[in-house]
Amino acid sequence: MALEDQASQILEQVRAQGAQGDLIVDQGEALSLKAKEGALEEHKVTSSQVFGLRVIKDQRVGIAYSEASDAASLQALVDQALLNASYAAAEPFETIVPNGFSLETDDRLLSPEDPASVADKIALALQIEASLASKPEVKNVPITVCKICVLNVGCSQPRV
Amino acid sequence: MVVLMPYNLYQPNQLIKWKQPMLDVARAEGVIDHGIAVGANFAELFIEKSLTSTISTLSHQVQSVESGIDFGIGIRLVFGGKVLYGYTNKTEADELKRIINELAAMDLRDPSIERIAFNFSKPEEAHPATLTLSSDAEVESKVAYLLAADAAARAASNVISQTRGACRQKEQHIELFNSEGLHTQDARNYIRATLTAIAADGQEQASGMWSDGGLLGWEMREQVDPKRTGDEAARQALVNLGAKACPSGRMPVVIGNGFGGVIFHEACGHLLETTSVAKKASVFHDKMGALIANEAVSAVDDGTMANEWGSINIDDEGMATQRTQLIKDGKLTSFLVDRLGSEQTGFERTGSGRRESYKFAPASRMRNTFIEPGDADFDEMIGSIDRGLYAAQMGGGSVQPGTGEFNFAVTEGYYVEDGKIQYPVKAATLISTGPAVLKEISMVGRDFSLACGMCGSVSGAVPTSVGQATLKVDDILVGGQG
Repeated sequence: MALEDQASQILEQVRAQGAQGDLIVDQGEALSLKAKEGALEEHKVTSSQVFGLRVIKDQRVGIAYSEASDAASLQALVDQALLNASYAAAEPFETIVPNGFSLETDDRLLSPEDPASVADKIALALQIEASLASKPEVKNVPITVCKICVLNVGCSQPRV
Repeated sequence: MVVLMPYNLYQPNQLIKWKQPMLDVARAEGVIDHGIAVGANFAELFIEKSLTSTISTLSHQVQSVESGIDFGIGIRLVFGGKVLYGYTNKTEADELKRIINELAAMDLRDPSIERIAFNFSKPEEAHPATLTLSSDAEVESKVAYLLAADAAARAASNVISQTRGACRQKEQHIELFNSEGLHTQDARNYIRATLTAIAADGQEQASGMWSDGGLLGWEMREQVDPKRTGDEAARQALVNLGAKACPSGRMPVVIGNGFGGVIFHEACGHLLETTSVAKKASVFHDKMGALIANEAVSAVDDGTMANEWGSINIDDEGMATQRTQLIKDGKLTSFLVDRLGSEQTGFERTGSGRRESYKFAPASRMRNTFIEPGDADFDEMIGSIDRGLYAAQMGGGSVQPGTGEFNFAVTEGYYVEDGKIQYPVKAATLISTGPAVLKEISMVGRDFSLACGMCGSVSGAVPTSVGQATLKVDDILVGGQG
């Protein structure tokens, strides 16, 4: 199921329980390199997709998250947020503003195409470490970190 | 008194239904095959799905109820002695293979092994849980427990000004596949309930804490008493509120049971993990069979103890856990060995490969680590001291990896003189090294107990128990104000 369909389904389940809600879907990819003494100490490749849900029912706010995107987990996400809300103190000023529009960032500006390969980035991490270590005043370079993250955050709210 | 109780309790039938296997076997085969195709000589998938819940109280009110579902797949590739690690929350084969491609970018080579067909096995459940988080979050009864503990603490004295309670539960399901034919699954249920009491009198403030936990579900409530939890947290806070400055200098110290074992864990246990032994970063790396402690000391790391906080059925590399005798009558008898550590050192694996979650590659880690009980009498230990300290409760501290140099805070301490406990002291610290303190332990008592903790290291924070009976260290540096 497409991500937008999953988001719609989650918010529909929230509404079916007589609550309001908004949902953040956080997707990202990251490469983490650590260089030490001319070799890579860490080479980690990761990607993520997390659903964060806030619900308001009877002025009580509940939040929950899920890193799983199967139907049972997303139903549990809604159940958990509602359960958590039922134990919260009333917060009359907390509201979810209904909207009927979408906002988009300029990805070309904030997240431009990355032409560098993994090999290029590894070479860069090793080069930075070697160049620092070669300076006479530097005794050692305890750690050189190169982290590249790409994040996409989407927020879904009920439309009126 | 105002007690905030649920306004409109939402009652889901079941929080989540678990689906096994968490990753289709054919997809796992394809991904492992891809790891082998890019040249890895070992490939592993660690799949985890965990449900977590944290209930917090502040004095007589619910502060928050929080929960979430963690899910991810960890991919470990080994190229010779080099370990590469990646993870994702996604299950698509293309994404798993993309991660492998990026990991192997600098190590591509012809395949050197063939995948062995998966042979599924599931460990016997040695730590049964009944009130699991997926069956019922039991929020109401956990809140009732914490509020009852708060009431008990406040009833102890009117100087108990505040309490903080927390009940954390986690249900973790894991599944492992590797290129050597391993396919296994396991489930772990953790529960922990803690109360901290604050005593305040004018400008003076002090705290006390009590915690219970284990590898089981909320059926733990049948074994714990909120009144005892509140009473004990309040008692410690009140003792500390009236404590005097602690004398400093070298002196004998009697260290209390249970969490007193944190010193052995931090200053000695970590030095026995192959993570540091293989790099020769541990002072014990070449001491196998040598006398490294007083002959009164025997120490164990045991993952098999029923329902204990640091226990496991299998480790996070899929190996059945075991009881590992680390030190016997003062002699070093074993290290804690994971798969990589075994390859690097030649020692047999001990079922000690552990990780916080799919976000970490496994490393050799402790489970339930303790000094075995002896036969000394508490009064005998105190009676043998002319001038010293009784450290009834220990707190946190810091340790230098490799050498085991440490300083630990004493959270409940008493000055001892002429063989008798004199008065409570505050702000004491114990300063020494693990190897030195092992040789200074001359008496070990009979009142053995374990205590829960979270141990942070290279593979994240994992549940571990520390433990010992009350024991006497003949000579240690005590930092104080007097």
